Amino acid sequence: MARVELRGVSISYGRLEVLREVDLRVEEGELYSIIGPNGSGKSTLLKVIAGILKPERGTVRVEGVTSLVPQNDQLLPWMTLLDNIILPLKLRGYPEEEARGKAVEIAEQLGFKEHLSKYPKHASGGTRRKAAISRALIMGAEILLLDEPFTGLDITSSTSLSTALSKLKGRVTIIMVSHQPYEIAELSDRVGVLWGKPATLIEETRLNGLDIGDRIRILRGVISKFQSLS
Amino acid sequence: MQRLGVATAAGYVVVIGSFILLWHVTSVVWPSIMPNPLASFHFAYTLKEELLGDSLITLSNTLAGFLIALTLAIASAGLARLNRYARMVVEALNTIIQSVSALVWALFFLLVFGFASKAPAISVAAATAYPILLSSILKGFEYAENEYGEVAKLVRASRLQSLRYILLPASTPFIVAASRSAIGSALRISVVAEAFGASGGIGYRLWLFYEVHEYRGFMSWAFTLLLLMLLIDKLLLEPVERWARKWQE
Repeated sequence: MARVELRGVSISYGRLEVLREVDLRVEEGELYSIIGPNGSGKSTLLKVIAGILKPERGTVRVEGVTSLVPQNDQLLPWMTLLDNIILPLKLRGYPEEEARGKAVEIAEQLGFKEHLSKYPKHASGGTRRKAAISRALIMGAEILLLDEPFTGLDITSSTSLSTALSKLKGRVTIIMVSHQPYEIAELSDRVGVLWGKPATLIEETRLNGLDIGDRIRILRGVISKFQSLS
Repeated sequence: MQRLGVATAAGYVVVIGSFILLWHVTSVVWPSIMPNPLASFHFAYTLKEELLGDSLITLSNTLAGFLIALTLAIASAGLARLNRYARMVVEALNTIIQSVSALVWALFFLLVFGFASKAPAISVAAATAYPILLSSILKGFEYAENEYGEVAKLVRASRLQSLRYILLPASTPFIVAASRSAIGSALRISVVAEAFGASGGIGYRLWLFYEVHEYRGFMSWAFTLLLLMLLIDKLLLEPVERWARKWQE
């Protein structure tokens, strides 16, 4: 069953048409990555799926609770990571103890439980991003929309975040925008290429079931094909 | 850090020392007007019970006025955030209150509340502190909205929840910084109101000693006011500001 289905989606910022006739179908539990040059509308596409932006044309069908995790984490700096994670539950009147328990459980799964008492400023980039993902998960997100989750992370943080995301694979549907080829190759079931001005989804490549070597080789082929085009 | 603390303390010692030196020089040049600092300190010692009691009156008037102003400023800024018509009213109110002289406020509240009451001093302190606080809180809310407005959408906070959990905490450094300035101004102005028509407080004592030409008493109270402001700043406002900025360290 498709969790997300876009048909003929077009959107403009004023006179500038950003996306034209985008068709996309993402299945339940799938990790789908979107690649493309800067300014090709990748983040806009995520916002359309999240319901933050309304398309001018086309239909968006989303089955389940979506949560967008923006590139800059958007954690509140005066709260610890734990308080940031439980904030959505607190706003809905959940008992604090119950919310904390849930947050600790998620943090344990994603491997950063020992950092929960830190303020965002004192946590590594990877930990902050895991906290932002945890906040999305605690809200009951069934579809995670990750906007460049690996940007600005060092190799240790990237690896750690990658491990955390691989643990979520299959349990939640993930649509990820990224520029990091290795992480895309390692994690993605399918990769879509957003290309052109205005951009449209022009190619989809299936990676699931392949070993990491083949995944990297195929993805390299896709990237060099579009590099030659530009 | 410790070195910085010593340097700051040394700065205060130098400034206060220079002030006392200037006072001493003035007393040598114009002995008929300006009393000697030592004589004034000795005179102050004889007034020690009044010094404490009246300082507490001024302090309580100032803090009561400040707390009223803070509550009103937060409420007005919150209303301005929730409703655009309220915002227009609040902004106009802020401009108007800012343009009224503290002397006008002091006389106005004396007329309204009468003499020998705490109300004028408290009201003047509140009227002085309110626009300082309101301007900073509005600025703080604007900053918070730009910086963290997206978070409110992400966690699906209502406007009221966004105000409580995001805008107010994000504006705390603005509020605390403005509070230092607001309390300083409120203290200076509430003393004026006390001088005009109260039966206690530093302003009342200053005016009393000035009227009876007892300048040792006048200078003792002036010096007490200076020390009181320093104590509030160092013992109350600085620790609160440090606490408010803890997450930035």
